[in-house]
Amino acid sequence: MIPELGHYALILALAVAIVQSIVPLVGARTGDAVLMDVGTKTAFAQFLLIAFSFGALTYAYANSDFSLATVFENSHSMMPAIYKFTSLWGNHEGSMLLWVLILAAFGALVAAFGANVPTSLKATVLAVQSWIAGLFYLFILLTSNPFARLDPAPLQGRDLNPILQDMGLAIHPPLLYVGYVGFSISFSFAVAALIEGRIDAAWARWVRPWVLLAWIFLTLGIAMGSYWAYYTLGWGGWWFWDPVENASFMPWLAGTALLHSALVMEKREALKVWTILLAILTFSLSLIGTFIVRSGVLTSVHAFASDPARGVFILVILFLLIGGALALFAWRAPALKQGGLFAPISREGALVLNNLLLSTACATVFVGTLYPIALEATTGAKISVGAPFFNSTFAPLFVPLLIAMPFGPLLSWKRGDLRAAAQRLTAAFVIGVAGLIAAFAIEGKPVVALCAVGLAFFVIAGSVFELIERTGLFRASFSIAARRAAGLPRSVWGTVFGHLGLGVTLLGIVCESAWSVEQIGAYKPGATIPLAGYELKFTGLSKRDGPNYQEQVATFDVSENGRSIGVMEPSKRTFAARSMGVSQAALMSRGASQLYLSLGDVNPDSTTTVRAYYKPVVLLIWIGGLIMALGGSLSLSDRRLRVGSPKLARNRAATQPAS
Amino acid sequence: MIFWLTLAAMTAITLGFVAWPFVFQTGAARSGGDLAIYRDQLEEIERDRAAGLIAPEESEAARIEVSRRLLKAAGSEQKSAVKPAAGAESGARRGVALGATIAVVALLPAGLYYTLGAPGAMLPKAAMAGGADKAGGAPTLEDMISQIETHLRRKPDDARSWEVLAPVYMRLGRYDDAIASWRNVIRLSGDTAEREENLGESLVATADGVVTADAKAAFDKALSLDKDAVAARYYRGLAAMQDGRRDDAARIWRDMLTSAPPEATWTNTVRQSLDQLEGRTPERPSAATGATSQPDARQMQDVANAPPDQQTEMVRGMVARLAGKLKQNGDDPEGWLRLVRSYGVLGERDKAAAAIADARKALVADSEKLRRFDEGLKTLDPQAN
Amino acid sequence: MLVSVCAMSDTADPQATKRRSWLAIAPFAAFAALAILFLFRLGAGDPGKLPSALIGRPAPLISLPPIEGLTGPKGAVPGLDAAAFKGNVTIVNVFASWCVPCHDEAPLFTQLARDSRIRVVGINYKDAADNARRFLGRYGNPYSAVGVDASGRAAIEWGVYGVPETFIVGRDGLIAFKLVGPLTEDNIDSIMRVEIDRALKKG
Repeated sequence: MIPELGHYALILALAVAIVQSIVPLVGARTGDAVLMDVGTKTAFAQFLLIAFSFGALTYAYANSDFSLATVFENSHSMMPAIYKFTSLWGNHEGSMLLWVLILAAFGALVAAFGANVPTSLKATVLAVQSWIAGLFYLFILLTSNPFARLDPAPLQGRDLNPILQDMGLAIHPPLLYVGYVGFSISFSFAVAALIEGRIDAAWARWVRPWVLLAWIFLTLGIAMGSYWAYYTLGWGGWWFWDPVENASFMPWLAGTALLHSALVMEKREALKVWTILLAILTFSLSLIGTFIVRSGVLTSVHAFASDPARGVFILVILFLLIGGALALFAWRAPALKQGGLFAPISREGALVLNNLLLSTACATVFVGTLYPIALEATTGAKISVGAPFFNSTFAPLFVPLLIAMPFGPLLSWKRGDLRAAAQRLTAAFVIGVAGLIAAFAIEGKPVVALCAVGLAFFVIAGSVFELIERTGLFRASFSIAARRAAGLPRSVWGTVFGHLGLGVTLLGIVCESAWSVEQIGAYKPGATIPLAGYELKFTGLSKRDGPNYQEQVATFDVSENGRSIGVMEPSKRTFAARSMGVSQAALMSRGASQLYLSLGDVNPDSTTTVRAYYKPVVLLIWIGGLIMALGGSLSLSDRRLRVGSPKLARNRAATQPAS
Repeated sequence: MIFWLTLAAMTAITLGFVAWPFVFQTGAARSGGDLAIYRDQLEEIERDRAAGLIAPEESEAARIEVSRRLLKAAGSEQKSAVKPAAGAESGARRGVALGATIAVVALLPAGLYYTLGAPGAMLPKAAMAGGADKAGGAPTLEDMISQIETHLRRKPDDARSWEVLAPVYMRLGRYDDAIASWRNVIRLSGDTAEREENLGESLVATADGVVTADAKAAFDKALSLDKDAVAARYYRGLAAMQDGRRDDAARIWRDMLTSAPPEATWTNTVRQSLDQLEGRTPERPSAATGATSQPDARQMQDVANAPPDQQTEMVRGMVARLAGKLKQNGDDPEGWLRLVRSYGVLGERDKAAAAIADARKALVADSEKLRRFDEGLKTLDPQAN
Repeated sequence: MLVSVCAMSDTADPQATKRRSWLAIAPFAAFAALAILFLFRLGAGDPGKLPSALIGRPAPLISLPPIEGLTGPKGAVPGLDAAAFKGNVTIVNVFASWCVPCHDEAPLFTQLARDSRIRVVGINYKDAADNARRFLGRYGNPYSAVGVDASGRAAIEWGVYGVPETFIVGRDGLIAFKLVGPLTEDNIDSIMRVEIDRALKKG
């Protein structure tokens, strides 16, 4: 009975979404506070209903109720409890329900925390949010019902795809979805601004926390996904320029641009129309990214089985939402009041450069991802655009971006002094050169990588110098500097960590790509593999039984300079229910560097193919991502983002009576 | 009944949420958030100036800019101040809105659930359970399996339950589960020739008749435990034949026949395989070598009664036509039964299992036909399904 | 009611407004083009139509060792000799005993191999020799040569997405066609034989 109730809750949510799409909008247009307030209540109701529906499906998965088609297709009674839960979103239907759950949650968050936003804007935002939600509820109900029953119920499920039986799946999709869906809020704000026909600096301030929130989760999601691919796919790659990866990267680039352009808008009331467009585009890219693969337009290794009926429906939704928003933009944007002009050498000038480069980078990825389709549709030729294209187009865009990045925060608004900023960055430049020389001393070549290491150090040092500059560390006494640091707005810290994280990631990427050591060979037990100063002794193969798989485990004793430092056990798992094998790599961290072992096949001459890698400072790639997300969180916690919120204003009055 | 009441309650609660603002007249129009922001910006400029972070003339310019925004916002605030919603016009509008809202929330889900929902889906289970109670009769095979599975989920180290379940899985064509079960049995209570033979047979079955290296290893182990293990010897012969070592295969099977006790029921099968090996077109696939089950005398005889080559070809053609027909129109329980039986005769147990699954899917809408199909399945030769 | 708030602009330069309105339409126009593209592509995502960069290119010149212990009527079945592609139309089937669809398509290759105008050869992908040999023993061996690709390297060279896959290599040694997925009763006549005839005609 519980799945049926879940199904009904989904239907009720659709009805509520329809109400929310219209009534608050009428309220906002006529200035009727009661009608506007309906939006707040319906947003809560939608969230509760979807949460109930999601709970019902979770219950079915937890209890291995194979009378549900999706449970049957993706679960197995012997599966460990955690995967029973996560297999819910390892398939199309379940992941759609997770998607709308997050969408409804964001709607409820706006209803709850949007108190500093004018009521009519908030009501319009909630209505727009509900158009999105309603379309997706309808999509789920008509084409992807997660509650469809099988009769008679099968006795056993087909098990989850073994590649997905991993903690990475537990974390990665929800993070990514929160990121994607989070951008729906800035989209709704943008559409609402177009409908209201009013847009000013305050708008940017209202939107910024939502953009930041989505950006933080998207950053974490991408980093997590990349790490997951790194350790599960077994050949040590961490980014493949796969369409689905690009799909998550494009909104990230656009979202990062949006984050910066919103800043310009907030401070200078410039770039208004552009910011609105970016807000629409960021979510559009999220939508295209999530759904284009499911519609069957693109094929990818990540693809869920595609179904033509779903494809048509998805395209209709995309067309209504994106096409509708852009049409509205085309109609209304020319009527919006343009902001002021500004000098090229200024903080806002730097941010415009950032936007230019980021959006070009985003367009590059977009073209690289869709060009093969376009070419095939027009000429019939089939090509695939791979890493070489992206690497060679990306570097020329990112290098100037990274060089300019430390300058931005040092320039003042309106009129910046480039020479002064450069002088202040001398020390960072020196550190960059020092990094370059150090890398040369350790690795020698290639020159490109050495320069990139220098650039990474420049970026890292430059971000920290902004902090030193602001606090007057080394000039004033430490206690004064510490007091100044404590007094700095959190968003300054956010900028520092955000930029720092990017530098750290860059350092990891460069070192990993240039100086990884790879050793592939067939070995018999007893053999020793020398690898970048370590020795891996292959001590033997054994068989082990897991709950729903069997695995063949190879054991390696790892030693450094003759001293044993641990054991690595890569394995190959065979999952009975799908008779499918998965290679489980073994990883050993040495500082930020890693040893990486994965097993190939057992050959006829009783040797085992082993892939062994030494990856210098590879962990920095993801640590950098974490630092960026930390920066975002610091920025999000800046009290200025909550100005005008009545509840918090009261708190502030209580703690800081003097202000 | 409880179900429908719950649906009604859910609808009522949702209506409560939606109607709340109308009933309690909640929601005060509020604006001025932008004013607060601009004031905050002014304060910030002042703070930065005091801390010496920006030059005085810069701060002055910024202050003027923000003040201008502040004034404009305050101006538009007054202009667009939300009109107090009152009077007949707004009352009528609210009435219409409330009515429409209630209609949408109360009626639309009812209509949608009528078309999309499947409240019947949860009934068969209940009916089945009720029926079993009433009859007081033996529980079905499915019930027993799910009971044992539930038990094993809690106590995965219960070897006896695995041993009960394993042959049932084999019979149902769930070879992967059978393999896992036999492995568990062997892991938990040691190996015997019989268990290894069973594991080997499941492995052969899941490989669609190929004696894989794993299966061969299981049979070898069985023979090391009991050198007279019949099935293991037979499959060793089959492995030799599939290897192309025809002489070895012939020797193994001939040895089996000469050493067979007089009451042995399996000699027919072995003789059949041997005939085929030494006789006509041996490298052609045939039902005999493809048979993955325990050697089955009756089945072998059917094949023997006709020129085997033609016979198989004929049967295969018929089966393919039948399968095609059922794919187009699956509303025929008898047809499905025939298909399942035919695959069984051909020794294609995977396809038989798949056909059973397909049949259930095709017949799902018609419970009467589905029942007929299930009844029919029970009467089929266990080797065939 | 939307129009009422539309008159926001207080910049009076009609020229500039006009230019801006064209710019504002650009994103929508771009998206419309994209949507049309998607519409055309819908349903073209059939994995059987995955692009192969190798069609029209020479078949990879890799020789592969034979399956250990595999014999046929004429003695041991040889491995794959890359040089033998020239001069014959060759069907190259990538198979493995562990791949379920391979079992289904195996009898069809026996049918295909009866055609004396073509050579049918196999690449045994990531398989154990025992299993591969008995797989061929079980269904009958349609291949005049079988190469073992234990590491999967050859499959990478051939651009294989997954097993089974079947290539037609023309007399000129160029890959003429690629079938992703199994040969079936449905596609053997409608696709495979048609493509074989085309390759034969090409001379």
